Amino acid sequence: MMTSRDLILARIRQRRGTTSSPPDNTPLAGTSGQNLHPIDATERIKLFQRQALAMGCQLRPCSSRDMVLPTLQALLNDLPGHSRVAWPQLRRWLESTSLGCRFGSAHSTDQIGITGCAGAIAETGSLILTTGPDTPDSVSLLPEIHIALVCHDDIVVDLEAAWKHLAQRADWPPRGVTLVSGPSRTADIEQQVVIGAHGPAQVIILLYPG
Amino acid sequence: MPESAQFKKNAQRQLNNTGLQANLQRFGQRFAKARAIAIAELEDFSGLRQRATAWRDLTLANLDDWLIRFETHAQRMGTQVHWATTAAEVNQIVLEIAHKNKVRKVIKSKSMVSEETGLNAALQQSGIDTIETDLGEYILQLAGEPPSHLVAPALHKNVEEVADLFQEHHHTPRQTDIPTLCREARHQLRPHFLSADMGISGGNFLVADTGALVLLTNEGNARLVTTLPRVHVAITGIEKVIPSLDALAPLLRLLPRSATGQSITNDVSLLTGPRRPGDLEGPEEHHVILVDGGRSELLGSELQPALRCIRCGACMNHCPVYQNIGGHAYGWVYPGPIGAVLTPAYLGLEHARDLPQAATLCGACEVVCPVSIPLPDLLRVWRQRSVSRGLRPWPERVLLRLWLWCAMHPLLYRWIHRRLSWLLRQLANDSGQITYFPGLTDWTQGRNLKAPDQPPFHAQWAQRHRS
Repeated sequence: MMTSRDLILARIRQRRGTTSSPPDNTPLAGTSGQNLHPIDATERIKLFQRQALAMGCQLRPCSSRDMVLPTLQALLNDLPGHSRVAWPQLRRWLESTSLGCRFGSAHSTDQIGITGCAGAIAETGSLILTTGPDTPDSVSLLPEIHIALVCHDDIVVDLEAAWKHLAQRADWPPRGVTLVSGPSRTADIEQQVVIGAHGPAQVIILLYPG
Repeated sequence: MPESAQFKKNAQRQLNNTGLQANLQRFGQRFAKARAIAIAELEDFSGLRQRATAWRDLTLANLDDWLIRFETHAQRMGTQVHWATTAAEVNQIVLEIAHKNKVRKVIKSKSMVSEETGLNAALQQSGIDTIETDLGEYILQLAGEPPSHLVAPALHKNVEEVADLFQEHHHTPRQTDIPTLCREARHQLRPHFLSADMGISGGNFLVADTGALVLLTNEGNARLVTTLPRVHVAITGIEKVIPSLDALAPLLRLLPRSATGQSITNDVSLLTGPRRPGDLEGPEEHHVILVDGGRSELLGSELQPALRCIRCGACMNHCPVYQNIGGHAYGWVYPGPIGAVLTPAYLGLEHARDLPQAATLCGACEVVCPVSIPLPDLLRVWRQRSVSRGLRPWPERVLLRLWLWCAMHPLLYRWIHRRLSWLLRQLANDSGQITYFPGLTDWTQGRNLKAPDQPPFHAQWAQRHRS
């Protein structure tokens, strides 16, 4: 008996009317458009900041890597919510401090989630988050407030550069890659934009030099 | 008989629906203006559009090979790939997965293909609680209505209607502040996200080279739907496959800009397979259902370009017909110009014969389409097929035959023409407009006919050649 798979493929081949040739994307490979002009690191960081702000992120630039923890501490003091969860990947960095956060995947009661990132994209102001045992997706998803630590060196210029950056990973392709650009939002009632739908209502980026 | 067969009646009803007209007025040019600004920010829109079109055409030309390539890579990553020829088969596959996993509650992120198959009703009939989580879709689920727009499904509802629905279904005090209502939806839906056994999503793209499913959302609901429940099922059309991430970049630049004028949606997820060893979360099973449902019929035909569609909704946002009648008048899942092309293809022309006529052929849809679908040409293809298959109403066919016969008898034609011109001039008002025509009052209700010029064209032409 013909399965649905056979049937669909047979229909496609019949309509195509040609014999099967191997799929080939070489004629278009590498032509994905936009092609931002090459820009240096300083410009790249500036562009990222501009775009992230445009997407509704809040920025907290840190003057050095050592300033990240004090900045984070001060930020947490100002924010409502005492239930904090962070990526296990950040354990060694954050554990020694008195931030009072748990490391693991988020519970529905967590109010603040702290993550790093696998990269960031200047063109779109996006954080690149990948899912894995040390980087559970729920931390940047369930709490109302998402705080991300982003190193200048991790910022790439555009989407194409982001794919290249990701493809170098040992676990490529990871189970999940999410480009997060600002807090979640909806405009489904009378097209009025409301920040904070099902995901975080605030995305705060701590930006630090490498 | 599907609703799409009743287009004229539906359109008339929507034109007389003052509530809907007010909501359409409010929607107005909002998305169109936002799109114009976002597109102007691009350095080379037409170049980008050409590339996006070329990428879509590339997969459509060898669709079988690309689908197999996607399947191979997806399976390697642990995804279970299913193929469904019809809507009924899609529902059957989903129900089987649900029963096997003893699923009692399903949460859904937006899937237009599941609207094609009537999946929610099928799940509810099997006793499985099914909850839409996109705010617009959730509102419509409470109202028991289908979506009326591809990206703003509930645009035909105003805040008062949403307030009534929430009060009735949530048993909470009535609120009319939009942010408060959004907040309420978040609180109502959060427990469902946490307790659901299965998540169902659509799929914006399938990446053949990595086996990834790509989802674009603003609300964060797709991430919750694909992260929290034990099982994730994605339902998507076979035409959604793209070769690689190289192809994804231009499409990502165009889709949100064309849809809502955003430079990117808040979340773009690339999902590859189920939970892996050591993962603290993620679905234990990941399924992708590849749906034909009439799509393969379009391949190799004049209508093939319609399969490039990335469901941005720009064509309807710029369509004067859609702007006046809204999405429900089209009577099926896909409204606007793209709906007028796809509905006759997926349901049969005899069930949607008026849809290709419901266009002014002004061409705005083609101009804004991010993947250059020649929508007016495709509407004309359906119009031609309508005529050649004898599907036009008999008065129209008789009149055209009569006209043809007269046109082949010039003396008679001129004699009738003179009499008719005289008659029309008698009906015209002082400014030469005919606003009332006995027997055609429906026609003159929304438009005027200009009285024929005097002397007529034939006479003017003859005179010019004499002098």
